[in-house]
Amino acid sequence: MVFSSLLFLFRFLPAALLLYYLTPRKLKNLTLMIVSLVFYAWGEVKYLPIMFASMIVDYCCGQGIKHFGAVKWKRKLFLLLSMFFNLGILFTFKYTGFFLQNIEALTGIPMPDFSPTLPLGISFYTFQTMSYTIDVYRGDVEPEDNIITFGAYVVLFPQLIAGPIVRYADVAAELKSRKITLPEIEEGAKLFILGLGSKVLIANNVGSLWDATAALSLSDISTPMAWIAALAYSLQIYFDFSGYSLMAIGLGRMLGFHFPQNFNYPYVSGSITEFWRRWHMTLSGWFREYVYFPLGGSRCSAWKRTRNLFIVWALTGLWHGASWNFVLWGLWFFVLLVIEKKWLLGWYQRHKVLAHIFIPIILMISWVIFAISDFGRLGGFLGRMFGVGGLMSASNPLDWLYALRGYGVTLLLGCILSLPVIKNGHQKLISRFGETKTITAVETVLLGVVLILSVAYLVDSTYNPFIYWNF
Amino acid sequence: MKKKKCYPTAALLLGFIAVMTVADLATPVREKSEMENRPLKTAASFSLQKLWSGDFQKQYEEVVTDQFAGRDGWITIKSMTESALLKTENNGILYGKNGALFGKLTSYNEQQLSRNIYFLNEFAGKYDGVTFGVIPSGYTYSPDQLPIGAGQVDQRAVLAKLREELDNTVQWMDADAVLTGLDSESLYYNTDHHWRGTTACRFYRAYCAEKGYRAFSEDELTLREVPDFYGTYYSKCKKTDTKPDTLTYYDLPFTVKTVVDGEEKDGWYDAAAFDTRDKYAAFLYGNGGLTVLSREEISGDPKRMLLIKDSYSNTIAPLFLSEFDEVYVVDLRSYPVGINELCSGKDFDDILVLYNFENLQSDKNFYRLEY
Repeated sequence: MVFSSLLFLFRFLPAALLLYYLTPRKLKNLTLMIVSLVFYAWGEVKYLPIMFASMIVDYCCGQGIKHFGAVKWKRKLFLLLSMFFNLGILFTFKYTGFFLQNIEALTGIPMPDFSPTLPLGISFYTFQTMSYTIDVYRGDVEPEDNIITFGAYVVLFPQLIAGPIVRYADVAAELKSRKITLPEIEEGAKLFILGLGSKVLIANNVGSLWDATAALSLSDISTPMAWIAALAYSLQIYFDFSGYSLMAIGLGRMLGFHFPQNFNYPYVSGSITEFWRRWHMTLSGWFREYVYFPLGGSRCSAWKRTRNLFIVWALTGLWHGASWNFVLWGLWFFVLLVIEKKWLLGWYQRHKVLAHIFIPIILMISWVIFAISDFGRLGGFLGRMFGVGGLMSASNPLDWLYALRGYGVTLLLGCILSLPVIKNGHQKLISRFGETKTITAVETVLLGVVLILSVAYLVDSTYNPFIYWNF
Repeated sequence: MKKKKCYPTAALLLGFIAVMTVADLATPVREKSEMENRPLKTAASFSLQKLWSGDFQKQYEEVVTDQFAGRDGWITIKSMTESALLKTENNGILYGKNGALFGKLTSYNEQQLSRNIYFLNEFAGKYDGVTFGVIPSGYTYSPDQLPIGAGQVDQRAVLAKLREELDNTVQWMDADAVLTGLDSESLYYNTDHHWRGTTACRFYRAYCAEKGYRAFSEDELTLREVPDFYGTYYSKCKKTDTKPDTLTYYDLPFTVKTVVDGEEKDGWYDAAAFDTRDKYAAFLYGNGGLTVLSREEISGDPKRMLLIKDSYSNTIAPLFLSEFDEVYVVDLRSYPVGINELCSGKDFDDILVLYNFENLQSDKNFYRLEY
């Protein structure tokens, strides 16, 4: 099940919230676990055993470390068991087909085609549960004794399928005792509506422009059109992803949880380094904590530092999907970051305006690499962006004009909303006048409009993709 | 944090969800949508196997969306918002000038098209006298009405290539040549993908002239008009300021004996359908698999025509009775097997395969010409 559907909004959510709020405090985790299992199982009942296995294996590993932890090799054994299991299911479902294809390509030996549907959110919850065992192993968190509490964490529906990647340590305390208050529900409702609007009203709208362009043959795409399409995709992936995270965080608030922020206006960044501090923050945080630091981080020789960055970025790329273009995408960022650290950061700081022109351009190119998995097509599309084969398309020289006319307003709205313009204005108003009734009223009306329009777009939706099947 | 006394957004979201959920559950089930001109999904069939495969869940989601309370109102809100965003299209429909709507077609299915041509060639190799015609879509004749830069497929160019793929056994009927040069804005409906009845009749006359068939004269036919026709393009985009078309067709000077899939009907069109939203479905009672049209009295050895078609031919199929005693009309979409049996049993004097370009490049039923 996905959040941006009528089924979620008008069947699952009211039932889940009602049950959850009515359940006595002691049993809330049980309720949460059961409704989350329904949420997870809705799309794919057959993968339910994986979810149970995930809960049980990681629970047992945590307990194992607790009871036999005095002996070092036993501690390690339980940690390895958990990692082996989590990475094992991730590899089996997500990477086996890719792996076999590459072996076939390298050796010429025909390999079986293995492409099962990915279990929903597998890249997210395997990382989440690994954070638990690793932290228990390190002694950073206490292992959880109650399997219901732990199970509720593993399958917790708001953050299950598309992040944020909530580390166990982030919510350990709230899993035990949390307060559900009206101000929190109010805040959660705001975030949820904003997230829903981001996904349904902006991401889906501009996304259809990218998809329409992606279906054209390269010679039918003019250079301006290629850039407009790249902009559309950049906005789609941002509003889709951050919208999903906002909905998750909002739902979390309504249930009494505080999930970490996942996006912080990434497109306002003045460098790629800064971008990655603002984009999918919980994923970068995860890799930093569990891969980069254990490898030695940046407190080692220059050569090792570069090696560590290389590993982290190759893995980050691969995490996004089992395809070489994602690896290329990760390594592209590795190269950019290395260059930036060595030479460019200072320059960017001295030339802020230029930096804010370059960075979005670099990011648009990055998203094109991300979006197109076929290398021939990718090269061709990048070529069109830089005018290879002529600036205009012979068959339709005014394609860009049509795109601007039909999507210009939406793209413009998307650009404005991807920058903290409104947020800053809103804060200025509040700091000047306080939270007056007028401001609250205007806020509520606007949120109401967003909610109603979102539902209208969901009712008549011809285009509402869930773009994380790959993740 | 300053303490607030009221929580408007919480009330808004939770209240809205609660009210809509209750309203939705209380709304009676609708079988079909007049506005969208299509049947709505009313129930999901449940079985453990369907639950396991996810099929039940998928169906249930469709039911929720199709039966959602106030569906038509929500659709109107979306359509109005799209217009406010200055969009020139919605749900794959382009907003053209002078109230014309067009189907968006920026790429076509090249593979399916060649596959269909392959099956057609095979078919024409088996039976004599196969003629093939392709009707371009309306925008081909009024490019000025399209929004600038829409990038629609150049159907004429594709058709020129397509003709080279045809075997010698297939005779080409150039529908495009018939329509070129006529008043472009009156050839097709504004709100529907079909050509007007009057346009279809021009094709009929040209075809008869080309083949040397007798055609009905102007006097023999009666032009009939049905007002307030909102076609499929409108049903998809629901553009709020759309003006309805007037549906046109020619009626014959005699009663046409009509048998649709073995069932005898009263006349070749269903006049009752003119009062509903789906007016075009009146002709030949929609798209039945095999429709046999004939004169009431046939003397001697009947002259027979086979027309393999999509819905574009529905208004002209009976007109061919000017030359033939019987017209067998086959719609491959609802005629899974039997074309070979039909052809070898009836000995047709003429076989016309007539498709609109968009249907031709997307139709997945041409393989049925083999069976």
